[in-house]
Amino acid sequence: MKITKKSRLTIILFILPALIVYLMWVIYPIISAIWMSMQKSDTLHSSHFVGIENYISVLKARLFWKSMKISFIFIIFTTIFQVILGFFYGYLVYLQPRGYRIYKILLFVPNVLPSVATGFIWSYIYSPSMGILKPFMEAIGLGQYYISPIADPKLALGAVIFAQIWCGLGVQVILFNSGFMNIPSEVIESARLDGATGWKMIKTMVIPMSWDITKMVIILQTIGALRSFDLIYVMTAGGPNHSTEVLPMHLFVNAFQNFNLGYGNVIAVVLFILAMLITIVMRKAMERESLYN
Amino acid sequence: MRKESLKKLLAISLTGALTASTLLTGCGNAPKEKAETQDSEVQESADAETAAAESAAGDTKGSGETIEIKLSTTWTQGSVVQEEIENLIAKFEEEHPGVVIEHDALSTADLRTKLTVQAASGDMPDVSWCPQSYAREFIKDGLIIDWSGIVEEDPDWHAWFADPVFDALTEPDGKILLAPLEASIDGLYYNKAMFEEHGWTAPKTWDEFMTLIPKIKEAGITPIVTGGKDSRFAWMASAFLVRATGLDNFKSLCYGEDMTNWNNESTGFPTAVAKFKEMVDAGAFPNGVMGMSATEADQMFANEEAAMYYEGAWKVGNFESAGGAEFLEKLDRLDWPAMTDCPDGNPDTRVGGCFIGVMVKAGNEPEKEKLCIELAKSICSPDFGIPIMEKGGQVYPGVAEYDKSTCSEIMNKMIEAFHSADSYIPSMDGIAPPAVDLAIKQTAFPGIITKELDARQAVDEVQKAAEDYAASLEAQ
Repeated sequence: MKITKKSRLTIILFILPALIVYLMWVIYPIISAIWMSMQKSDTLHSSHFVGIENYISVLKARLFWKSMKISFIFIIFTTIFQVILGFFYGYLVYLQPRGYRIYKILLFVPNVLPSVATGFIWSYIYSPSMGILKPFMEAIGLGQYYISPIADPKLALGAVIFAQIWCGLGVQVILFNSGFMNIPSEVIESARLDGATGWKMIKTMVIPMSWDITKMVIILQTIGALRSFDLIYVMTAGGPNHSTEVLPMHLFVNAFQNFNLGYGNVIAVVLFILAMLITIVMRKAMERESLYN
Repeated sequence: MRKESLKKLLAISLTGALTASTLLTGCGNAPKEKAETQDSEVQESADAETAAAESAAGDTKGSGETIEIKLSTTWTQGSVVQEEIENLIAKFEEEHPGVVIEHDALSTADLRTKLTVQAASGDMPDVSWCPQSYAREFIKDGLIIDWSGIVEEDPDWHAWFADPVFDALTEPDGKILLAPLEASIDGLYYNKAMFEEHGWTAPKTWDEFMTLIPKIKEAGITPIVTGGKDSRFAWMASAFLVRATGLDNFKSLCYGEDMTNWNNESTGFPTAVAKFKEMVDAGAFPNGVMGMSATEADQMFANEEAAMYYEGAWKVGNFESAGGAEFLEKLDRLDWPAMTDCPDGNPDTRVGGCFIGVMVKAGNEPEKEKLCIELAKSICSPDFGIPIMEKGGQVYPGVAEYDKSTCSEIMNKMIEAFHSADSYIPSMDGIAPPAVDLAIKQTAFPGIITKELDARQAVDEVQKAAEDYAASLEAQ
C-alpha cells in the first residue's frame, strides 16, 4: 500500500491515543525515575541536582552489593526450579494420566492466591508458636531443635525461595502444558513409531518443539523474580539482618523508611537496566527456531 | 470515492474523540474542579451573608459544599480504639453537616510508609496520626501546621496537658509539631506468678538481670522474648543506651554534637551494644527470635513460655488479646535494669513520653483547616482519650482523672509509671534519625542475635549510617 501524505495523517491519528498513553505511563515514569535518581533530597519534598553522586554512593554501599547477590541467588534458584518442575508437571499433565484435570487444578490453586496471602501462609507454617512444622518435629522427638527457617540468615532465603516456587509453579505448568498441546499429534505419533519413547521422546521431540514456550517461561520467570517484593516483605521484610533483602526490598527500605528517595531511584534504574540486559542476553543465548536449525 | 472520504472523515473524528477522551481522563479533575470552583464562586457571592454567619458559628451547614477531611490513623479493625474513633467521626459529622470524614486505618508500619510517600508527593492527609520524628521532617517542608499559635490562643485546650508533654513536642525554634495524642512508657513486663512459683527475684540491676537469665533457662523457660521479625528493638535500644550513657549523651548522639560519634567509647553507644551482646550471648532470647513476629512473641509470653517482655504500655492490650484478662493479673512491671557499672548512665529515666501526636496538613482553605484542627483536638481530648485508657488501649498524655477500677492492675501501674517518671527519652525510632534507627534495629541488633556481627562491627554499621545522614544534612 502506498503511503500518501493524507494517509500518513490518518495513521498518525490512529497511533496517537495509544502513543500518548504509552508516553504518559511508560516513558515518562522511566525518564522521571532517571531524573530523580540524580537528585538529592534536602527534605522529603525538596531536592537538588547532584549528577551521579547517588550512583556512586549506591555502588559503594555494602548492602547494595549484598542485595544484588541475594537477588541473583533468588532469580537463579526460583527460575531453575520453576522451569524444571513446571516442565515436569506440565509434561505429566500432557500425558493425561487418570484424574489429570484434578492435578492441574491443584497445581494451579496457589497461583490464585495473592502473594501477600502466600507470604502469611508460609510465615505461619514456619512459625515456632503457631506453625505446623514445629509440632511435626516434636512428634518425632526433635522439637527442641526447631528454629523457624526465616529466623536463620543461612536458611531464610531458601525458605522464601521455596514459598515463591510453591506459589508460582502453577503458571509454568499451564504454560508448558499449553506448549506441549500445540505440538502436532502426528509428529509425536511418527516419533513413537520410529521408536522414540520416554526420555528419548522428551529430548528429541518435546523439548525442541516446545522451545519457544520454554524461552518465554524462562524470560518471564527471570524478570518476575527480579521484581519480587510482596512475598518477601510479608515473610521476612528483608531480614534477618538483610539476608533476604532483594533489590526491590532494598529500594523500599531506603526510599520509604530511610527517606532517601534519590538512592531508591538509583536502585529502580539499576533494576530497569538489569531487566533489559537479562532479557537481551537471554534472547540472544536462546536464539534458535528449533533444535533442527 | 466520496464514500471512502466519508469513511476517512469518520475515522479521523473517532480518533480525535478517543484522543480527547484519553487526555480528559488523565487530567479529568482539573476542568471539573475549575468548573466547580466557578460554580461555587457564583454560589458564594449569592449566599455571602448566610455563609459569613455560618462561618462565624463554625458551622458548614447550608453552605452547599461538602468538605471532605481525610483522616489517617493506626486504629484498624479489631483495635480497642476502633469503635471509639468511628463514634467520634459519626458525632463530628453530625455536628458539622456538610463535613465528610474519610477514615483510613492502617498498621503503624504501613501508615509510616504511606505518610512518607504522601509527603514526598506533597499530598498529605488532612489529619493524621504521626510520630514526632516524622513530623520533624514534614514541618521542614511546611507540609503540616505549627501548633504553637493554637496552643497560645486556646488556654483551655493547653490546660489538658502538662508542660513537659508540649515541651517534648516542641522544636528548638519553638514550633510545636503535633497535638499530643498518645503517651507511652516502657515496662520490663514479667510474669509475677511464674517468678513467685520459681522463687526468682525481679531484677533491678543489670547484674541481677544477668544472674537471673541462666536460672530461668534452667527451668526450661525463655528469659525474654520480642518480635525480632518485626524489628522490635527500638525501645530496647533506647533503654540500653540511656542506662549506659545517660540522657545528655543520648540526645547529643541523636541530634547534637556527637551525631557522628556513635563509635566513640565516650558517647556510650559501644558500651550499650556490648551489654546487648552480653544479654544475647547469655541466651536471653529464644532460638529463632528473628523469625518471630510481635504477635507470635505476645503469644509465647501469654502461653507462659517466656518470663519477660520489654516494650511500651500499649502492649497491655496485646497481652490481653493473647492471654485474656486473667493473664494480665499475673503481670507486673519493672524499669529496665540499672547498669551500676556505667557511671554516666541514667538509672531513673524511663523510655517513653509523648512522641506520638496528631498532625494537621498545612495549606488547606482556612475553613477546612479550622475543621481539621477541631477534629484533631477532639481526637486528643480527654473525652476521647480517657475511655480508651480505661479500656487499656493507650496512655492518655493529659492530666485528666480516670476511673482506675476499669483498668487492669498492670495498666494502672503503667499509667502511674508515666506520671511519676523523673525524665523520659523517646524510643529510638522516635528520636534518632531514621537512617540510624534502621541501622540499629535492622542491622546492628539483629546481626548480633544472628551472630553475623560482633559488637564492634555492629557499632560500625550504625556509625556508617550516622555519617551518611550527617553528610546529607551538610549538603542541604
